[in-house]
Amino acid sequence: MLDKGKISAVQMSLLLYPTVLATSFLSMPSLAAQYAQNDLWMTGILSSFFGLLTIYVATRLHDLFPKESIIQQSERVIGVLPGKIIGILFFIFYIHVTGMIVRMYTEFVSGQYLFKTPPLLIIFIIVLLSSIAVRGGIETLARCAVIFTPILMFSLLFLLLLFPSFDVRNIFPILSHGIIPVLKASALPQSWVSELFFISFLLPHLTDPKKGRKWGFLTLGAIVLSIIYMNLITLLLLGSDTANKTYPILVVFRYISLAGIFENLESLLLAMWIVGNFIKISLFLYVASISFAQTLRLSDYRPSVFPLGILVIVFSLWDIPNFSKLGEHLRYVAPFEIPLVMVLIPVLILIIARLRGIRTSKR
Amino acid sequence: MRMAVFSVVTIAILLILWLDWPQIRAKSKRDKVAFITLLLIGWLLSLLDLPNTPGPVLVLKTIFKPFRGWVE
Repeated sequence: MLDKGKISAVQMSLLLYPTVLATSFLSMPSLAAQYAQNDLWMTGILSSFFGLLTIYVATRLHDLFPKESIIQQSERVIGVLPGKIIGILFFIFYIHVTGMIVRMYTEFVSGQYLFKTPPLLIIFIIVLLSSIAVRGGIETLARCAVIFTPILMFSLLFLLLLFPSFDVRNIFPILSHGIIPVLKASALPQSWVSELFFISFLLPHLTDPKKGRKWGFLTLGAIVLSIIYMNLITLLLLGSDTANKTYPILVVFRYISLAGIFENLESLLLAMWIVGNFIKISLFLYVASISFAQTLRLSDYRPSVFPLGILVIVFSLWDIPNFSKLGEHLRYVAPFEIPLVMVLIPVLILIIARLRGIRTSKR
Repeated sequence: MRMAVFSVVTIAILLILWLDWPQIRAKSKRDKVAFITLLLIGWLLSLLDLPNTPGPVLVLKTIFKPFRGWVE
């Protein structure tokens, strides 16, 4: 194993929660509202399907091949050369998605807060920070997550301060346009939830692998509840205006004003955004370097972290001249790209393993 | 933007080489080749005018074009 670090199942859960939610939660309600209008709160429930599937597949594969990640498992199941091709595909995909996340992070920070700072500087700083954390190994990441994820989760509770402004009538009429717009709206959360497949890279490090599946499903439950919670609060507060906002959660946080003390809470949102994205980018970079090292059978993954960081910077700029191009990519390409790699390929590998009659190995 | 990306990436690569090379030198040939190739790819890509060069986003858009109607 490349990284000898050990983490507990709870730490794995705390790592995965921001990995799914950190970038998506800001714009999620408006993207969902553009399709589903006032039924946007249902998208969270419908999007859990791919999450259940991907956790089940990853843990089943880990039962068949303990202590191995999807890269080594695919080499065992479909042969060395096709396995290598899948490994390279995974690696390029992870680096590209990491670049996209870094770009989303930068667009929000430079577009809403640090107007005069060059975006390039913001990109470099977060990638440098994440690379240093990744070189520390999975234990360092897990400890960062133990500190930062509760900050992210508890800050969301501040939204409850808006309670007096809620208008319950915004929810009605329920399903007035049928179920199809809700299904379309859940395409994007669906793809984010399938990022839970990263459990495949974390299960080999668990001190108690038997708890992996249980905590995976618990993480999924927490994520789905958070999606429903944020969508519902945005809907109750903004109503039909939700669809017009780029960052509805930012609008909602700005709206908080209680007793002259709790005001200007958007700075809290920036803190949540930075710590959440730090965990998310670090885990993506970690997974990318592990898959790179495992595909090429390198002796250590650490030396390739900084070079991969440079590739992340390149991918965060490449072919994205402006925010609208990024938005188009996220809306029309990502809902198919991410589930293809994170759900479909692992499902196919599991089916092939079953057809080849591979049973649980006792090693 | 273009010169900024190129110069910062070049400085970063020189720093990485300076700091990491002593450890890499002791490792196998495979590790060295992988390390140098990654740095070289990163450096060559930073020579381009990245935001306006057709790249992965266009490729993925073309691949997933048939499915676009499902979410439009």
